[in-house]
Amino acid sequence: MNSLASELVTVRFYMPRSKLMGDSIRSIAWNPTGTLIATGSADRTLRVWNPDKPKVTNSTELRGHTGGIVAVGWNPVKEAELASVSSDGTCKFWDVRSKLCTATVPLGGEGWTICWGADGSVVMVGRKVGTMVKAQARLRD
Amino acid sequence: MIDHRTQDDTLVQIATDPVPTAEEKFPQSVQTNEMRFNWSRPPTHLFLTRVDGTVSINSYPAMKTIHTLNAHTSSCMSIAFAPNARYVAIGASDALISLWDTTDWVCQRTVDSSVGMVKSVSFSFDGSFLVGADDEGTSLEVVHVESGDSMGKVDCPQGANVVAWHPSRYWIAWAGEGGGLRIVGAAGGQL
Repeated sequence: MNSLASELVTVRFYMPRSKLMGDSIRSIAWNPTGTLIATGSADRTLRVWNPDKPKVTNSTELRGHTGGIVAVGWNPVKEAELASVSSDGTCKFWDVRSKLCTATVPLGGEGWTICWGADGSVVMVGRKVGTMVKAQARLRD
Repeated sequence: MIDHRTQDDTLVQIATDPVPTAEEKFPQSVQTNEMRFNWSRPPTHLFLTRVDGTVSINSYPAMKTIHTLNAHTSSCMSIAFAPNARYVAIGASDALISLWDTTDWVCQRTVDSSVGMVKSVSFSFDGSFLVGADDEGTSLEVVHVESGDSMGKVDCPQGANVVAWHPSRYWIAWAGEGGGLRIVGAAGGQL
């Protein structure tokens, strides 16, 4: 059983693009097949990495959030659909292959946490306490 | 349009089909941290970690609290389900990880190797191992779930905020304050 301890030696190191303070990664998530890993940072950077290619130039940056990223999560039944939650008050959905933001859902307050249902049908987002919010019910067309 | 000036936490339910749309909002009287649905398709329960040290188990989609775990003496921050649904792990600001048996909701054990807040917990793909991020510690400890034994440590000199096992390999991804993303892998991907 102790063989695992002696094998935890391989480390891959990803240099962050930004050396500024506050570039701390706040959330990471593997996609369902383990071919990609997403990182969300306080400096508003949302990035998707291929674990076999550690250079930042091989990663994909998803641009659009205007605040720090606090939580990320992948659709469990797709390979490359990512959701991100930000202090900018939105939850964004991304097609990682095309790098397009496919939807932006206003939360009515700063985002804090995220979880997906196992069938991909629902995302629950937690908001941060202490914000003044305008709650707007969005009706389906 | 409803104008709420509130100090309450709120959960926003987003349906994804046909396009992501906010459906309903659930105000909470206590700040929630990390949440997880159970593995059912569609989900039947939602677990909320809370700053009062409790974990609220809600039926879903009704969102009624059906059980409350008095898990920790300070803020619960992180939650993970074992892949076989047998256990739930809760990380807290009291530096402990509690492990709960989902058949009877009894706390099986606590892992006390952290020194700071446990903001992230993760099970390996086969449910054998558990790791927690320690935001003040200098290492991540890998724990064997059934026995509670330590299987080894990963150095993280500045602590860790987030940790995630790979979905099919014995690789651990983690990140702390600065320094970027790191992935530690068992050589060859095998025990």
